[in-house]
Amino acid sequence: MRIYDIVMREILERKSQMMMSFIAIFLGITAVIAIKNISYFSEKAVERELDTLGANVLILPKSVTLQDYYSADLHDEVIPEEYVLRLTMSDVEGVDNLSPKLCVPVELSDRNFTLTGILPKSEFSAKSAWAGAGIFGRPLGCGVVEGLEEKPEDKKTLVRKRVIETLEADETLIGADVAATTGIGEGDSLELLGQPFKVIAVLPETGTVDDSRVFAHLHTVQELSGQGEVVNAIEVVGCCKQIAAGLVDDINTLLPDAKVVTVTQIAKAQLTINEMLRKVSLAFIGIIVVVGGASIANYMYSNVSERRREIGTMMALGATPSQVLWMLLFKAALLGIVGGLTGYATGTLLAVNLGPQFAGVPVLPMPMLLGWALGLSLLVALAASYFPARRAANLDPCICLQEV
Amino acid sequence: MLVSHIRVGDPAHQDLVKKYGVSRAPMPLVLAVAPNGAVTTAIMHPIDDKKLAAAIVSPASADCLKGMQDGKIVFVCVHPQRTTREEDALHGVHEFAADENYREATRIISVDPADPQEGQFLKQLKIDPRTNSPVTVMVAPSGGMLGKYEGVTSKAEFVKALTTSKSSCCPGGKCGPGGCCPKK
Repeated sequence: MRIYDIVMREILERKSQMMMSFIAIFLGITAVIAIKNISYFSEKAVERELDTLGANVLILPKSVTLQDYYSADLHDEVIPEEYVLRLTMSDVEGVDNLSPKLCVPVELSDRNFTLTGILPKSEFSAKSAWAGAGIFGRPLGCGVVEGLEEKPEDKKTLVRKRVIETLEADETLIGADVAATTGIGEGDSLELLGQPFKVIAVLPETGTVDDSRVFAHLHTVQELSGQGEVVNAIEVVGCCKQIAAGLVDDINTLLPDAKVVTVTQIAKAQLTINEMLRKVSLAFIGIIVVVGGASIANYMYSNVSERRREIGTMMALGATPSQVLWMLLFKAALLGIVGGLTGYATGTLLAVNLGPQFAGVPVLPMPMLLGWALGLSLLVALAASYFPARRAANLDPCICLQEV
Repeated sequence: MLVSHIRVGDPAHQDLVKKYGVSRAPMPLVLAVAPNGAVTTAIMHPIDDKKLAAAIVSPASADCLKGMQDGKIVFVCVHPQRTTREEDALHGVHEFAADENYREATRIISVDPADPQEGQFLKQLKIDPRTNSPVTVMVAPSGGMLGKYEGVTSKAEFVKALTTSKSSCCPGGKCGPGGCCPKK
């Protein structure tokens, strides 16, 4: 009979005892894999956001609190639109790319979307030259020479650049989800709040709330909604040097009644959660090692004690100490492999399904974590089983058989 | 000098309000307008004598501001009367302005550095009025300087200045238009 057959028969005869040890390994690996999977994608999302929006600043009503950059304007509080020209005509450097927004809920094809009014740069950028001849001494700002060439602007860059150069009163740009759901495409017409619009572009998918937006001229949206000359937020596409030089403080001084927020501040909450997840995953690794290892060690010791006569008989019939050692370690390895595999599968399922709810980001399976899960569970199982297995291998068959 | 009081809510003043796009501007606001239609300055509250004095600008400064406010790249060509290199200095400027990509986006202004009226303007452009060589300054619509060139100019260097300013965001920095500095 092969070692494999002996081990499998023994497992099948003493299933319930092994189950407790398996559960300890399985639960620990599941938790660690789920946490590591979710925190990886959460960290990547924050990095991506900081990379693409890191120099951006949001100007919001004082009473607004916010968790997500892309939905910064989705609230009912407002600030005066005059803040835009106040910034443009001021001597604050680094505010060349402004994007004021006003949001109104609308219905299209029986689905709810957000009509977002945006102000094209052409409406206010010329006024930056109203600061007088003193502006010749200013450093060059961002995007100050955009739109000078004859080439027409690619409107689809709105989602990346966050500003648009020109937009007529009756033109709209629609998000990817809006287009997919309603079947409306570029060149089509649509009606919003009783006004007809031309769709001049369908924006590329971003995976953010922008996919469910319809963008139109700010002043048109203000008129249709009857809200007056107000906006929900002003996005400032900044430069890192201006941020470091105190852009936020300058804006705070110029607009004391508004709240100025950087992307880093918004990301701070998510960074804190990521750090907490990292610590929790370390704690769970500790738990696996201690609790799981102790459970397996306890199980193996009691298993060896129970099987003294069986092991003694095997050795009397010619089994060598190393064969006994391998038999017990093989059982531990099986426990580790099965625990690791099932823990990885369950942890991944939990991460993919629950991750978007907890972390607000899409989570995908990570095959590289399988090796990690197997490695950890095997290590714990083998380490915990080594001394009991050695003890069994050192049993004297004569003493064992005396007890028969 | 003519002083006009405008009420943004008054229907009789709507043409002016619309012309200058001030219906949503912070109030009170003082706009100083040069004879060529350029807004030389917009003064927000508090209004003081110093700001009002700064609103009076030279003819070349007004022309430059008009070009900028029309969204053009302005070439300020400073040529001493005694120079013989004026044609060489203007060569690159004329070549750039003749390019179909930039024709509609270019404005050229000539300034005599010896003209005492232009002293303040030259000071703001950091040009010595005693210069013997022609100097060409390329100014973006926002007022930032895209480049300053002494002597002979070429279209290639103007195009390079324009391209460089489009690809980098921060003055002297490497930030892209998408945000902060790219990771190394």
